Amino acid sequence: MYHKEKRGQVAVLDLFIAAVIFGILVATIMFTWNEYNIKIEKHIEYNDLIIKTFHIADLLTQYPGKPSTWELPRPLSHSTEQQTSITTIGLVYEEGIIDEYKLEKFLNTSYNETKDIFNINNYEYYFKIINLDGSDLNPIIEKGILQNKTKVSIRRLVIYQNEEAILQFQLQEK
Amino acid sequence: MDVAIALVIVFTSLLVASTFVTKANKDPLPNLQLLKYGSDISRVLDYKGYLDTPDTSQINNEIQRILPNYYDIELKGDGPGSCNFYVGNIPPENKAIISGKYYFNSENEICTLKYKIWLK
Repeated sequence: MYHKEKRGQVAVLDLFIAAVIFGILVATIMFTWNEYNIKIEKHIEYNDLIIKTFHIADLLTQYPGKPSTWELPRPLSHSTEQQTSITTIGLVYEEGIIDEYKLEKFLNTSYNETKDIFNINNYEYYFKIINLDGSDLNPIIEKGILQNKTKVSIRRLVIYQNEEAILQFQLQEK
Repeated sequence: MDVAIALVIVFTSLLVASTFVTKANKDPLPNLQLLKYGSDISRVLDYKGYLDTPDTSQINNEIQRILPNYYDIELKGDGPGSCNFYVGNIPPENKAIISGKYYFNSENEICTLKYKIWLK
């Protein structure tokens, strides 16, 4: 009788220990799962930011834009009697060679309009052209907003006014 | 004993998974930036006429001027005529090297410029 009761107590203790270990394991796995979900989500967002930044920097430094003379006053479309819209902003007339007229038009276009064209309404961007040594050009060529948030910044070597310069483009989370 | 073995297996699995996720999350930005810079340098050399009739010392001087001091580069010109040249440094074996190829025209011949660029 006495032995039966003791064996029963041991079995209950084993079950209790097993349940505690199981609980700890489940909690650990859930915590890790959650942590990595957040990490992976952040990583995907960051990669998206990188892709967008590189894509826009490529457009700015390698393509003249669409239409290719987007910097000129735009003619009216025959069918709608509205101005033909700018689909892509590009700043060069030849790969890597900055067109000053395109640059001027870009700098004079409203920030929000350029964001619409770049299709980056959920982000803020900052654009600057600097000398090779990192010093500012005279006058300073810059556009956009600088924030202390997650950002991706890229530097491209370009020719501006027949001299090598750095085009810096930075995309930031809002 | 059984419990101990089971725990070791579970935590080892978690650790391995964590290592792989950390590895996969390595920031690709520096390598992408290197790739773009390599192609930009090739294009600038071509635009400024350094590849018309390649001269090693002139190209070397230009590279010293336009390459940021935290990068290093190896350039190899290849093709018929005066296209063949070598400028820069030998790439290290213990670092990520980004390479690319640029086609250019030199004295009416099509030549290639192979670049290898890395972080110092």
